[in-house]
Amino acid sequence: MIALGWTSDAKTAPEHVTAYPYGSVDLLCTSPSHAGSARERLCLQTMCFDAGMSMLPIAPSHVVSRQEAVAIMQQIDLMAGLRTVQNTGQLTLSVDLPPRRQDAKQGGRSWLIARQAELGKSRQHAQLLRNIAEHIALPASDPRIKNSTVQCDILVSRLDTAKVKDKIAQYLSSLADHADLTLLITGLWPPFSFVDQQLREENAR
Amino acid sequence: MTATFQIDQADMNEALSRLATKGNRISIDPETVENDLARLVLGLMEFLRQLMELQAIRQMEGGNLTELQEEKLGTTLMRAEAAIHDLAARFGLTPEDLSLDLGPLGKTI
Repeated sequence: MIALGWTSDAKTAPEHVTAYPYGSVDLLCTSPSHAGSARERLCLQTMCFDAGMSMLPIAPSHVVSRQEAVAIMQQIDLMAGLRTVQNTGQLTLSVDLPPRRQDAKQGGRSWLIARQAELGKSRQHAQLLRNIAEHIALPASDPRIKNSTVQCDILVSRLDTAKVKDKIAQYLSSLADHADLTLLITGLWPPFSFVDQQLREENAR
Repeated sequence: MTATFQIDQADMNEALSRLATKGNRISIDPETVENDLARLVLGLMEFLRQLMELQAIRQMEGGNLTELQEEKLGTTLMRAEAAIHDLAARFGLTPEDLSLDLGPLGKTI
């Protein structure tokens, strides 16, 4: 069996998912035939999340067996992690970087200057995402660059999702220097970026 | 011209923060060993090239390079990138495939 994550409020598990109780925590698993790819694992995790479960998901890119997941349960305080993500999910904020211009006759200096400008833009977008997270005063992941996109995740209460989106839109509209910028918000997703939130807060303290 | 690079922690972190596609844990399979090794070696080369690119930009921003040095560094890095991507393409790998998942340390590029 392949582990998908843990929950403290296993509701009716979606098709192909089985919840195995271990004390007050349920381990969500599926058969390898339904979890062969990261996409399939993500799909099942999202179905569990959409069924209303508060969950600590395992990174879909990682294949973790049921035995390995049970061993992890003995090493970390899962209940503390589950309390942190209780009734929450993550919104993912994305800002695209301008496309790279390919010029075969480009000189080395102009190439370096173009890369410098690109780096500056990505830092600028990352700072914008940090400012948004600070403005809405919610836990946020560090901005990351992925496939020419700067992204960060924000931990949001399920009930506050619409309110948070409105607040972000209002904040953006108040910024004159980002008029040409498009911010894409997706979610709610299972709180992948906040599984170790408790640990990070303790380290920060 | 010989340029000496000192790669510092901030550049290393910035390079690690350039996350790419998922599902890229390093794996060597007997059936696909050539491609797996190519991906591993080219991934490391691209990671080092990106570190050097960040360092070059930092030196440029600090005003430590002449225009000629910037031209030479830029040309070297640009051609290195093209060569790595060209080699990767021969093994059927895209630039995104060169991202290596180092587990808790994150992705290389």
